[in-house]
Amino acid sequence: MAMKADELKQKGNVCFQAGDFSGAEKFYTQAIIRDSTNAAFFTNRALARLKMEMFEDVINDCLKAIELSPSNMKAYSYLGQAQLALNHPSEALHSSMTAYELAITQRSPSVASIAAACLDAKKKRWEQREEKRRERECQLMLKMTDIIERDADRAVDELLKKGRMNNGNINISEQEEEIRHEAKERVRTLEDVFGKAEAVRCARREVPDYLIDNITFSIMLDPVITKNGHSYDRATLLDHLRRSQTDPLTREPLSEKDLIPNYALKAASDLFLKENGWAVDW
Amino acid sequence: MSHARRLQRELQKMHQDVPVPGITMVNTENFTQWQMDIEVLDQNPIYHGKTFRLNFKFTENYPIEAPEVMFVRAIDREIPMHPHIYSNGVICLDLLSSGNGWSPVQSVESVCMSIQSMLTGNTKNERPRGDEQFVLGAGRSPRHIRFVYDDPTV
Repeated sequence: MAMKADELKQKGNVCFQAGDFSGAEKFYTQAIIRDSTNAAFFTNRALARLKMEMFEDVINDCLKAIELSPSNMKAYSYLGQAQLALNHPSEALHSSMTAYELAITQRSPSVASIAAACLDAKKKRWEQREEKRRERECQLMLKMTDIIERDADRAVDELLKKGRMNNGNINISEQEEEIRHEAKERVRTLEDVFGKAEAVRCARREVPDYLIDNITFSIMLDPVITKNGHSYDRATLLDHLRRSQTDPLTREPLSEKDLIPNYALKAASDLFLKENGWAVDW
Repeated sequence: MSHARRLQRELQKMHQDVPVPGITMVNTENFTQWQMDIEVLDQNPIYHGKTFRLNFKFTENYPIEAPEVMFVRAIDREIPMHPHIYSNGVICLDLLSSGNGWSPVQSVESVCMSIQSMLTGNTKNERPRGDEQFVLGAGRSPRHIRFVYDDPTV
C-alpha cells in the first residue's frame, strides 16, 4: 500500500534531522506528488534544497508555498536566503523584510535571525553598488588617461611636422621629451585625485551614535521607542522582554505592546545603510 | 556570535574613550572571560592602596543574560572586605542577579563602576553574615544563588 503524504513528510523530517538532506528532499518530493496543496511540504523541501545549495529550486518551492499560503514566513525567509546566494540582494532584501514583518506579527522566535538576514541583504546590496561604482570610476580613469596620451601624441606629431618644415631644428627631441613628461605628470595627478577620493570614502567609516542599538551596540534595523523616549532595535528588545518585562534603562514594567515604531529613525538608518553598507559589520 | 560583536564594540569604546579612573583592563583577549582591575580612589581606609581583580564570564546570550562577575585572588590581589562580598569572591549585588536586576544596557565598564562605588561607599570592614558557611557550601555558579537583599544600608 502506498504511503500517505504526511508519512512521507515525516520520513523526510527524520532524514533532515540526521543531516541526510538529499534523502529528505526525495521524501518531500514524494509527499508533494501525493499532495501538492500543502505549503509545508514545499517549505520543508526548500530548506533541504537550501542546505544542498540548489538555490534555483529553493526559489521555485518558496514561490509555490507562498502561492498556497500567502503569509508563509518560512517561505519568504528561505526565498530571501536563496536570492542572496544567487547574488540578487535587492530581491533578497524584499523577501527577508517580508519574512521579518510576518515574524513580528506571528511572534516568531526567529525574529532575530531574520533581522540579521535583512541587514546582510542590505550590506550585499551596497557591496554590489560599490563594485559598480568602482568599475565606473576605473573606466573613467582609463578613458581620461587615454585622452591625455593621445593629446600628447598629437602634440608630438605637430612638432615633428614643424621640424620638417624648418629643416630639422635642433630642439625637437628636447621638446618632445617635455611633452611626454607633462603627459606623465597629468596621469599621475589624475591617479592622485582618484586615490584621494577613495581614501576619504574609507576613512569616514563611523556609525553615528543615534543609529546604534544600546543592547547589541550595532546599527538598528527596526527601531522602536519606549515610554521614556529611548529607542532600541525591535528584535533585540523583544529578546530582552522575553527574559524580563522591564524597560532596560528605568526598569519600569514594559511589554511588547508598549513599543512604538520610530519611523523617522528607521528612515535615517535605511538611508545610512544604503550609502554605507559596511555599517552592518561595524 | 552577537555576544562577540558586542564585546568587541565594548573594547573599541574603552580604547577610544577617556579611561575611567581606577578601572583597568587586564585580560580581554577572548569572548568568554575578561579580567578587570579596580581601585577605590578616595581615602577609604579599608581599601586604600589596594587593587582588586574582577573576573567576568560571558555566555552566548550576553548582554541579554547577565555576565557572571566575581572577585578573584591573584598576586597582590585580595578579595575586598565588604558586607556583601563573600571571602570566595562572590558578590551579592542586585545588578548582577539574573532576575530583574540585570539590564542589557549595562556593560563591563558600567558594572565595574557600580562595584567600585559599592566599595567606595562602604564603611564596614567585615564579611557578610554566614560567610564561612556560605563558602563551604559554595561550588555552585553564583548566577544561580538566590540572595536576599536584606540590608538596604550598604
